[in-house]
This record gives sequence, structure tokens and C-alpha cells, in this order.
Amino acid sequence: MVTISEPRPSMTSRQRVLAALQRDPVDRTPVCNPTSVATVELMDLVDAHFPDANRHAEKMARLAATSYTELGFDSIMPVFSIIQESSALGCQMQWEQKDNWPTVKMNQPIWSGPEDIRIPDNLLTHPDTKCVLDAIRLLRKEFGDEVAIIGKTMGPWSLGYHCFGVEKFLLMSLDDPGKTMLCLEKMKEATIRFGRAQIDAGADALTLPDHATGDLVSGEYYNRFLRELHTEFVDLIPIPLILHICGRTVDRMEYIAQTGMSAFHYDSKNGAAESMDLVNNRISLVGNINNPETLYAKGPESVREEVYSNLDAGVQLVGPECAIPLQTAIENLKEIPLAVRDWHSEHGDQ
Amino acid sequence: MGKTLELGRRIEVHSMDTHCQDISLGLYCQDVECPQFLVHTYSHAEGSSQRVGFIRQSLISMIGLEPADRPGWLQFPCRKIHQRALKRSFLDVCKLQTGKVPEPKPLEAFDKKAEGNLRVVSLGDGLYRTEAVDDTDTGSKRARALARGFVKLCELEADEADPLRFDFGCQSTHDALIGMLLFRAQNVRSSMQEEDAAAGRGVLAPPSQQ
Repeated sequence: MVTISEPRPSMTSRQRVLAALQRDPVDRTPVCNPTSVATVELMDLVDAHFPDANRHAEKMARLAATSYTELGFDSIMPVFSIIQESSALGCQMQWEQKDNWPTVKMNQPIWSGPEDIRIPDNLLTHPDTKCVLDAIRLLRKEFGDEVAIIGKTMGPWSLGYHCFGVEKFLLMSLDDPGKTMLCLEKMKEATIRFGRAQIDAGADALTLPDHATGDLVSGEYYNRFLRELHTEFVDLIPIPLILHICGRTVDRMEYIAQTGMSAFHYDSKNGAAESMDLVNNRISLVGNINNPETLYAKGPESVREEVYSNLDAGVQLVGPECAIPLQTAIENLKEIPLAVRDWHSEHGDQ
Repeated sequence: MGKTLELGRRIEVHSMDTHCQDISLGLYCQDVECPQFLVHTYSHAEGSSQRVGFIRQSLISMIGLEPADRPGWLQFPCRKIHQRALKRSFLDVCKLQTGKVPEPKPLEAFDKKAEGNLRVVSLGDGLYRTEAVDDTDTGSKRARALARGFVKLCELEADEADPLRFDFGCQSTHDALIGMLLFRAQNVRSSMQEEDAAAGRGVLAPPSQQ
């Protein structure tokens, strides 16, 4: 495969990502990872392994930096997992080993109703949230304005799964929507406080995962429980927000586009062109490169095809659909920025 | 300046090597006139280069790879890839503790279900035939299952006329590889289940699917 060399870029990686998040003109489409691109081999390369790299700021920063220094992405995202706040809220954790993700023991819920919800005073000083803030500071210090640093704050729906248990939280939403709304309202404090603290630490944008996923929650549910809340976050967390929801989500993209969030990190179960049509330039799209079948199991040629398909559709930022499998091959990840540069060269954009 | 290398396509990875400080071992492939393979780790942990050396030597000894003309790279004498068989063998070799490089395994092994030994006989030109050492009904059934196991596990060519035969399709013998994978082919279902479980590990599922 011939790789065309890149002409001198006119924007830094950081400028490129931030412009694309606002749908402003860019010199080329940025390659952005709103979620983790850590792999077991990158952990070896920089001697920063899971689970420590999820709990120690310096290792977290070192591993996260590889997205820029090794893979050639335009962003660095140090919050690999989805459990940092839940640990600080008091959930029981399973930290796992190098080759697997830490998880919350959701069969041991810590809350059963809105009256139980208490956001602890030490939310931001707990070791598992503080390490994120410290890692962002370290990265900002090391990379200055060169590259976009993206943090992550979990939305209240995801926190609900972790703190109440998935089944119980979903049943509550069916049996007593008012009670569920009250729970979301109380839990949003954690989202806002952790998000704002990451802004203070130096984050350029925040991923906001809120797992109203296509497999369990309908578009109507999203509209009823989350649309207004997400709109509120745009005002309360003053930084570009990237909403992340896994699965087929075209049934809620209209609502998502109304929230005012900067971008939607979308799954490969949604076609790039159909998604672009639905959001109609009201929100940027990022992601869509398939993880389990393409990045994990296929080769660079297939990765390139998916990158091209997103660029052909006009998607604003290209990247994996979600946190990549830890065993993903490095050459597949490096292919994403190569393909973006080649696509632009072939289209005479540079 | 990045520190990752252009090693070609990574065809398999052993994520955590419990015999060497949990390092990750990758098996890379490049097509240079023929498919060539390299065992590589990005780890600088103590003992990691000796570990890579041991795995490399074991691939030569136990599955019949030979050194290629580039330092560290290996190839099959037939110059083909045999990817499925190689991937499976690599993962099994990674389970061995560093030490004396093991000898190739025999082409005959006890089979619990057959209550006797099964063996694989090379018929030359990459063609093999399975048989039960004791001529019993169960033994014959298990010999057929063994041939099917090899076909499935290594994506080999089955002989439609003879259910006991299979073919590498390269006209070369691969006795070492057969010996290495004999146990796996006898237990193909559990081997495939093991593969599926390994493929799911390290994939982040949304909370709703955890």
C-alpha cells in the first residue's frame, strides 16, 4: 500500500480537534480517540500496565501519551476505563490484570433508592479520581498546546448502572420514572464536579459516556430521561463535550443533536452516511471504526476501508467506535492516521 | 519519534506471559518472497529477550519452522503460511516455561475416549492419515474425529473420499506441527472454546453487557 507523505500541516493536533468539534474548517480531518486506545503491547513499550495505569497518574499519562507519540492520533485520552468515579463513589471494584478491563461489581450495588445517593466530599481527592486529574496535569505540562487532551466524566445513567445494578436501575425506570429522574438528578452532581475538575486540570474536551445503549434503551427513553439532562451539561460543564453511547443509536440521534453537545462518539452499528444525515451538522460525529471485527480481527486494509467510508460521508473526526480491545494490533491503529492523510491527499485537500 | 517498529502484520499475541513478568509476546508476519515470522516483545523487562529467544527456538524445534535469511525471522520449509496452525501452536509454545528447548512431540498419543492410542501417519506430500492403534469401533470413530479435528483446528483440506485423511495442500510434510497439535485436535471443541474465551478477554463491554 502506498502511503503519500503529508504536506506541512497548518494546524496543530489540538487546534485541529477543537476546530472539528465546533465544525469549523480544518487542514485535515483529525484522528481522535474519545475513549481508550491502550493495548497490551503499548503497555509494555512504556512500562505502564493495567491495572496500575488506571490508578497511578504517571503511568496513566505515560500510557495515554502513546496515542499521540506512537500511533499518530491528534488526541490523548488518559481515562481508559469507565469506573474511576464509581470507585470513588464507593462501588466494589474488580481491578483485573494487564490483559483485562477493571469492572464494577454490579451484583453488589451500593444504593437502592434516591435517598441513598450521596456524592462524597472526597469525590475529587479519592485516589481513583485524583489520578485522572493529576494525569491530565502531567500531560498538559508535557505537551502544552500541541495535542488535544480529552478527559472523561461518566453520565448519571451509567453511574446508575454501576451504583444500583443494571437490572434494578432499568426496572426502576419502568416502575417509577419519577424516582429514576430523581436519582439521575442527584447523581449528575458527580458528573459535573468531576468534569469541571478535569477542565481545571487542563482538559480540552470531555467524553461523557452515558450508556443508554441501543440494546437496552430506546430512543424514546433517551428523550424522556436524558435529553434535557444532557442539554443541561452543556451549560454546566463549559468545555466541548463528546457524548458516547454504544450500539445502534440512530433512533435517538435527532434528540442527541438537539442537546448542544459538541460531538457524538458513535458506534459502527450506525452507518456513517445515515448518521450524518440525521444529525444534519448540528453536532460533530466521531468514531465508527469497528472494534471487534475490524481493529481487533482484521488487517490494515479493512481499517483503511472504514476510515475512507467515514471520510466520504463527511464525518468530522475519525477514530475507533469505543475503547479498543487491549489485544488490538498496533499496525491497525497506526493505519487510521495514515489512511486519513492519504484520503486527503487523494482528494487534493492538502 | 515513535518507538514502535514496522514488523508487518501481527498474526497472534500472547497477552500475559506468566513465565516472564507478564510480558506480551507478538507473532508478526511479513511477506518477503514467502511468509516469514518474528517473535517480538516491546517489553524491556528483565529476561524478556531470553524469553523471546526460547520461544523462537521452540517454534523451530517443536513445529518445524526454520531460520529465514534475516536475523530473528523464521519460515516454514514449504514457504507457506499455515496461519491457523501456526497461531494455535504459538500460543501453546508460549505456555512452556523457559528452559531446555523441548523435542518435537510424537505423532501418537493416548486417547481417553478411544481407550487406546491414536496416531497420525504421514503419507508424503503433505498428506496425512489418522488411525487407531487398536482396531476397535471406538478407536475408528475417534480416528475420524481426530482427522476432523485437524481439519477444523488448522483449516486443512479434508479428503472427501477418505474421512481419515487430510492434506496441508503444500506438498510438504509437517510432522512436528502435527505432533504439536495432536492433543488440540483430539480435544478440538475445548480448544475452540478456549479460543473464543481468549478473544473476548480485553474487550470492554458496556455496563449493560457486563
